[in-house]
Amino acid sequence: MKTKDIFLNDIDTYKDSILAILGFINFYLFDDISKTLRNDVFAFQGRRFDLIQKSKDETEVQKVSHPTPDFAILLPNNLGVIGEVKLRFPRNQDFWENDFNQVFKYDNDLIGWPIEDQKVFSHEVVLILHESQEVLIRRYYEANKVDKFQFIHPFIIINFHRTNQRNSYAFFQIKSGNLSDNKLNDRLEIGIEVPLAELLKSYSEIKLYDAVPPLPYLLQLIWQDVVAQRVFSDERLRALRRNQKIKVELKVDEIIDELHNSYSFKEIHKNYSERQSKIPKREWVIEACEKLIEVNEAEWLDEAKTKVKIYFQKHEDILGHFIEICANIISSASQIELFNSNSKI
Amino acid sequence: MILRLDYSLIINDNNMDFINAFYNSKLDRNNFFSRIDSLLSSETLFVYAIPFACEYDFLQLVNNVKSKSLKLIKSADGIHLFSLKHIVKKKNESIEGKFFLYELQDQVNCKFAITMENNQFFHRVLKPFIDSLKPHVITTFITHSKLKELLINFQSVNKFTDLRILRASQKIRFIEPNNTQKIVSEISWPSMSLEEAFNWVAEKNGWFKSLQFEALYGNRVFADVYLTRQGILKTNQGFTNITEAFLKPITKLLYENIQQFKNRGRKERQDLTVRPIMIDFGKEQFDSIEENQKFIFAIKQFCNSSVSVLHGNPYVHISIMDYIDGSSFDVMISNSDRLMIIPQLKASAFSIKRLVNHIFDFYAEGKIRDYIRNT
Repeated sequence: MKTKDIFLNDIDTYKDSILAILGFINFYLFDDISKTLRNDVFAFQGRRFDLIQKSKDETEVQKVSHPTPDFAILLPNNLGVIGEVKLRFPRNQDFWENDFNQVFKYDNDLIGWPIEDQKVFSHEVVLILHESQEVLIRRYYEANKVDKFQFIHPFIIINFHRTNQRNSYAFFQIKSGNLSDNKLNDRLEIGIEVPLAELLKSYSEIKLYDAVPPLPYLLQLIWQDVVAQRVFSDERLRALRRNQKIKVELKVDEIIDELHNSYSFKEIHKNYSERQSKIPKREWVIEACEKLIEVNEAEWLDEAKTKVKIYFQKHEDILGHFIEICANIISSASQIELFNSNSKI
Repeated sequence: MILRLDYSLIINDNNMDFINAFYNSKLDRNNFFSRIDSLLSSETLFVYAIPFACEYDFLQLVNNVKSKSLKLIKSADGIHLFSLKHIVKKKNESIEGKFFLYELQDQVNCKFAITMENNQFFHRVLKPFIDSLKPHVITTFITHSKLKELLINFQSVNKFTDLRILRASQKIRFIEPNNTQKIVSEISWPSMSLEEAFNWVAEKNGWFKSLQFEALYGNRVFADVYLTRQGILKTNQGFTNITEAFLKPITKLLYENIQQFKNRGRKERQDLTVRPIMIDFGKEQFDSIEENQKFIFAIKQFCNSSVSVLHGNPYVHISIMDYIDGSSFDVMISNSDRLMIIPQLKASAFSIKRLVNHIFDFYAEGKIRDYIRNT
C-alpha cells in the first residue's frame, strides 16, 4: 500500500472512531420516546479516572494510574458504562495483549465520576471493534479470558461498521456479553442502524478526540481553521495569488484553543470538565508545527516553542498537500535509513 | 449580432441628450420604470439591469471601496444615480457612463443596477465593478426549470403569441470515456419556440447560460430581450413588463436564498453548532460509485478554493475552503437522493451561494432545503 493510502486509511479510522463514540454514547443520551436528550445521563470522552489499588492490609489505597477511556457514561442509580473504541488492532496478534490490557484496566474500581464520592456502584466495560476484525479478536478474547482477562465487571464486545445501502448507516451489534440496560441490550443484539448523515453532522462539530490524530489531518485543521481564518480576517490579504506566501504569527496556545473550542468533545462535558484534558494536546500541535518547519513552511519564534510563524499559501487541496508532505518525509527518511544501514555494511 | 450591437452603440451616442435629460430629471419611484419605457419607445436604446444583493448598505460599501472612479451624483426616493469611469491604461483611454441603483423596498438589501449606456460601458465597466464588490455583493443564478417558468409566465401574462429564441448560449454536460463529466459551452442560433428550445437543450443534457429572444404579437416584435442565468437583463422595449416578469421574481429568489444561507457559519452561534443545508435531487442520484466519482470530479472544478476528498466511496466526504473570503464547508453524501453541505466556522451567504451555483452548473440541479433528519 502506498504511504498516501496509509494516511487516508488512518484518517478514515480516526473519523470512524469518532463516529463510533458519538453513535454509542447517543444510545444512552438520546431518549427515543421523547426524541430529546436525557438530562439524567452524562457522557464523557477522554475523562481521566484514578485507578485505586488497595495495599495488602486493605486499609491504604494507592493511585496507580489514570485510565482515560474513550467513553464513560454515567447513568441514573449510580451505574456506569466505560469503554474503548478500537477499530484497528495490529496485524501481529502478539501485540493484542497490550490492547486488551488497556481495556482490562477499566475492570477496576475507578475514581473520578462526577458524583459525590466519585465512585459508581457498578459499571460495565464495553469494547467496540470493527466488523472486519471482530471474529478474530473475539476468538482471542475467548482463548485468554480465563488466564489473562478474567473480567469481574460485565464485559461486552460490540461490532461497528458502515453499511452501504441506498442510505448509509453506522451499524452497531453486540457480539459478546450483555449490557445491564435490557432494552438497549435487546436492540443491540438485533443490531442498531444509525443514519450516517446524523453522525456526520455531529462529526462536523467534533473532529478531534483524545487519541493522536493522523498528522496530515491535524495539519489540515490547523491550516484551514486557524491559519487561513487569520489571513482572511484581513480583507487586503484575500487577493493573495496562488504562489504568494503570507506570514502569520500564532501562539501555540491560540491554535490549541481554537481547535479545542471548535472541534473537541468539550460541549458534551462542559459542566464537568475538571478531569478532561485539553484536546488537541500541546505535543500534537508542536509536532504538527515541527512538520511545517521541516518543509520550510513555518519557523519557531522562540526557543520555548510557544510562538510560530507560518507561511500561509493557497493550496488547491490542503489535505492532499499535507499528505504529500508527510508521505515524502516518511519515504525520504526510510531511504536515508536504508542508505545508512547499507553504509554500515 | 455584431452589426446590431455596433449600430446600437452609434445610436446611443447620437441620443445622449435624451438620456441626459432623463439623468437630470427628478428621481421618482412612481414613474421611474415608465419613464425608461418612454425613452425606449421613442429612441433606439437598450437598457441593462443587474439584480443583486448587498450584505450591508451599498453607499457605505462603495464609500469603503473609496474608488475615485465612482461618484454619487444624486439620490432620492431609494434611487441613486452614479457616474463610473474606467481607465484603460494600456490604451490610454477611459470609458465613462452613468447608472442607477434602484433599491427594492420589499426585499431589504436587494437592488437593481440599471444603465442605458452603451454595450462597452456595461460589459467593461459596470459589470466588472459590481463583480469587484464580491463577496459583499451577491448576484444570483436561475435554475433551468425556474428560467423556463419565468419565460412561460412572461408570455402568458403579456399575452404574447410566441417567444422566439434567437440566440442561446448553453452548457452541455457529457460523459468522457474515463467516466468523468465534462461541461462544454456552445453558442447557437436555434430560431425556435420556447418549448422547442428547452426540449432541445434537455436532449443535449445541458442548460441555458443566456438566451436572447423576441417577444412576438403575431408577426410584430414587441421587444428584443437578453437574459442570463445570473439574472442580467437587456431589453429594447417594455422595461416595466420585463421588470415585473423577470427582475422582481429573480430578486425575490435571491432574497430568499440569502435568508436561507445567512448565519450558517458556526461562529455565528455561541454554542458553535452546525446548520447544514441539503440539496435534494428528488431521485436516486448517487446510485453508484461512478456517480460519486462524477460528483467529486465536478466539485474539484470549484475555482479559487481548496477541495480535499477525505472519503470518496461508499459515502462522500469533501472538505472545501473558499479562497474568496475564507468560508469553509464539509460536503457529505450518505443518502442516494441528496447531499449535505455543512458550513464550518466561517460561511458567508455569498460563499454558500457560490458553492451551490457551482454544484448546479457543474453537476446537477436540485432543491435547496434545511437539513432534516432522515430515519
